[in-house]
Amino acid sequence: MNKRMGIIFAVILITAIIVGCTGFGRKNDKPVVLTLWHVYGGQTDSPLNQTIDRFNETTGKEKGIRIQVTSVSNTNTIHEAVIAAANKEPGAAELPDMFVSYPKTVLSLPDKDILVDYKDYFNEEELKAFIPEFIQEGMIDDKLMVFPVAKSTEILFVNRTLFDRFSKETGAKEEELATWDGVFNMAKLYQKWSDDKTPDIANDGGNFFVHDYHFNYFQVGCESLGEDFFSDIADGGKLAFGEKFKQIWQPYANAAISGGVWLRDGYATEPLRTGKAIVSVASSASVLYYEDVVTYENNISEPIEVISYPVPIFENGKKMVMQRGAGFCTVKSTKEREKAAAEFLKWLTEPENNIEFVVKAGYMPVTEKAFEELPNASEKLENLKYRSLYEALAKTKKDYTFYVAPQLPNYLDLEMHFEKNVRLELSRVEQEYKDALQNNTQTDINTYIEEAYENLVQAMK
Amino acid sequence: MDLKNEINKPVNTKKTSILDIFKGTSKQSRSMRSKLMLYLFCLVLAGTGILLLLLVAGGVFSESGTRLEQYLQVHLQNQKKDIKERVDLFTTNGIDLSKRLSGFLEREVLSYPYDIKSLDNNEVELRKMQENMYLLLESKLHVTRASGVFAVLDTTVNTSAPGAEHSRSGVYLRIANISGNVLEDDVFLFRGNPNVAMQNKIQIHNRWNMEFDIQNMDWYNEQISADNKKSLSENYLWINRQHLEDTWENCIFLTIPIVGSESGRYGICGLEISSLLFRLSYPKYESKYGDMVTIIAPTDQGKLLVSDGLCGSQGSSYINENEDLFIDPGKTYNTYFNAQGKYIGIQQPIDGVFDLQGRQWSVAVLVSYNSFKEQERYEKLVLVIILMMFSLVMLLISFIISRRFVKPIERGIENLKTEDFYKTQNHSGIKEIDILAEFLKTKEEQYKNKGGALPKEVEELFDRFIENSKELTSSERNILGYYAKGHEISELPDLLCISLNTVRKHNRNIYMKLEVNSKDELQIYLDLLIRCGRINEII
Repeated sequence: MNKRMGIIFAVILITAIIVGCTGFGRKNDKPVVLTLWHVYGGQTDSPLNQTIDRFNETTGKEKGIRIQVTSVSNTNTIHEAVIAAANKEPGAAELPDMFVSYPKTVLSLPDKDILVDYKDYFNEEELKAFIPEFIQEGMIDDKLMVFPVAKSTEILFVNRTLFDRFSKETGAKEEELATWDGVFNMAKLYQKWSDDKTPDIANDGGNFFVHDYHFNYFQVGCESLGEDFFSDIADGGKLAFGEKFKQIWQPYANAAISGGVWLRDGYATEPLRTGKAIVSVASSASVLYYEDVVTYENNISEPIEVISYPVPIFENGKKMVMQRGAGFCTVKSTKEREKAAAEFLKWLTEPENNIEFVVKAGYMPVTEKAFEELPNASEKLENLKYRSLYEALAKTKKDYTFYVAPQLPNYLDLEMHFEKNVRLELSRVEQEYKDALQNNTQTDINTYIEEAYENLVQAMK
Repeated sequence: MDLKNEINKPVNTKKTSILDIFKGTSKQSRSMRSKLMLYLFCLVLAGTGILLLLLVAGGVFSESGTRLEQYLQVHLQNQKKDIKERVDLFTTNGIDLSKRLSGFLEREVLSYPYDIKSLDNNEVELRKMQENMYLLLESKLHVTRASGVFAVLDTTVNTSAPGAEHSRSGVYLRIANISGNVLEDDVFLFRGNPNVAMQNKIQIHNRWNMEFDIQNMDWYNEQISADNKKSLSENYLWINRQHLEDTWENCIFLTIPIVGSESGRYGICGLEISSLLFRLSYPKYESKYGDMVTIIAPTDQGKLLVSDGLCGSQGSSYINENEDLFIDPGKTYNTYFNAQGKYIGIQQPIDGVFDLQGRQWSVAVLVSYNSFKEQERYEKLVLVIILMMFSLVMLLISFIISRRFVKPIERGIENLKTEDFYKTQNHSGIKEIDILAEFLKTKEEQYKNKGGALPKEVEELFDRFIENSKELTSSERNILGYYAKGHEISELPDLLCISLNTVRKHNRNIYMKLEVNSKDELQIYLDLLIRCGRINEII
């Protein structure tokens, strides 16, 4: 018996030695590599990339997770790429493991179940640490599919250097920018003031104001005045074009047709960078893209000071502002990869890491604790542009109600069509009005405002 | 115990175990089965040894390395072919762009004698020229599928602007978003007059500037220099990886001078490949030895200068793109290493790709050393396990074969041991045993026919011994019986409950009556009678 045990023991020992020598059963040290498409930084030096580098070198290394950024663009581009990939369109890129998008992208997916429900990886206690509205925005069909990492809102940016020059000669005051009427009146005034600078060239006044999303102006405007911007939500949703809409259309179109509003496609950064507009309403995250200089066509650059205010409001309207900022979606794969994605998001939303990232990118943090610590962090900011932004964000959070856009399946379509049509129609009518002024024909601006409105309503139908 | 049974007991009835095979080697006497099994197993071991030698000689244990090299070679050739095609596409289009720009400038913008500096401070002309250049640049951007295209002219819009000595007019277009393998059509104006963007309905880049800053382009002066008399096809350069100021992107560039018809230099033009575009164009190749990464980079002094080149997507084979790799050349593949890690790979130069320092660029495919070693260990383990399993199976087969082989022999021997084996007609099935049985049978019959087969003198001695034994008393006969069973004198007092002296007294009487002189002589008689089967005649 003892001899038999000895033989068995010897066999086990030999096997163990062989196995040990050959390294079988060694822990697999290959990291889980997760690809990511995000929007934080766009064409600039991305603060999220820097934070990801830090994750990869520290916690990621420890836990065997590596995040690889394969695209930094914008939510619209990601939306198109994700939809193309999800529909397996020819030539479409493969879906990354994680991408940043708004709920509207998820709602447009042919199959929402390709995305991870974060409730499988975050317990209730962990989710309670987040601002409830931010979590709520990412809930689709009772599943948390869009995870908040950084939230933005709309902010009024002013090129104070050029504004002061204008203000000195016209008596315009920054305080007037607190209401939309003030902004649009000032836009008309600025257009005239800049036109008068070159008396030999007629109608060459500059734009004063630029809005990133006209759609948001009208949407929040209507809602702040107590009117639904959308109607027939149960049937897919369309624009209501109610009385309040027309009320807020009036001053906007007036300023635009007069030449005081920048109507070209794209973000507000372009006219501010070239001095072709001096006031903008854009995402707080735009701060990353606003440079501290303006360059003119003669290649002379001038340093400028950019300051921030909460967005203007309508008289008798609620102080309401659009809540913006996309979230992280994770594509379902293996449990190991999904867990790795959740680990990364847990790390990124830890107050210290979250604040480090958001203050560089002009966003708000997403947890209650990080919000408590935000003033300390923003006070330490050396860049005046960023410090001013966080002061404006603090006022916004204190005084304003955040408006969250409804989850309509055709939201993005409506937004894109509206944006395109408003810009197109107002640009066309602006040119018509300019020509009329030149030819001294029909110069009643209200006719043009009405014409543009009717055309817009028609186009949206 | 019955004396007959005692004598007829088999010599060895113990079952043979595997242990006996090993133990048997140190014993003088071994069972036939153990020996056979040992021989068979030795044969199998020798066979396995030869097989191992053949495997080693055939390179099976270095198969992982050979196979990895094959994978690397195939992947390298594919990547090299693709990169070469792309390089050629870029070069031909770059040279074409240079020629077209030169022609356009001389035809539409400059007047003879052509001097690009005549455009200095001419805002209107420069703007018009940029607007006209746009379509050409945009078409090259889409044809080559580069991430950017640029043309810099040796002139500036404002010679009195701060930094004007380093500022040069031109247009730089970049693809707005690169994701996956699909290049978006959207284009940003990175450098140039914003009216160019407005006219062509494109956006300006977030980090737009009006003009190029040639301080960041140390190759500019070299290419623009009038001393540079090389032809266009010789004068293009690949520029090492540069960080695109204020952005998150790194790029390499192909630059070509814009040469006038009278050898004057108007500026430079070229194409950009961003690290992102390269990463997405050259995805990792998943092999069982780990993810293979494609790198293009200059090589110099035994180093692959990764920090100057571009890396394809890396997957699990993480390579720090900012650290160069030392090359340790090998017979079949090279080993690459730096402080961050170790890799296995191969490389080949890309024809016609040189940088400003004259360094040849190469394309390399690399795989993580650790993941390769892990796979190699796994493959060797599988081989070792297979060999072990083979040996175990062979041992089992040896055991069964030896058992099956020896069983009939043992049975035959058992039959031979029976008293009346010659009376039966049992065939063992083994020829040699049957011959032996036949032989013994013949001998037995001869013995019987000769009446006991004992010599006559011995026969007489036995007869007298048996005759004398009839004079023994019952006690003496009883003692004689014990001696026949093999008991010694000293054992008898206990067995018969008598004293040793009494035993000795009986012995003397026995010796006298049977006419023997000693116990040894008596024992010989008894043994012989037992062997002859006549012991029952005296006891």
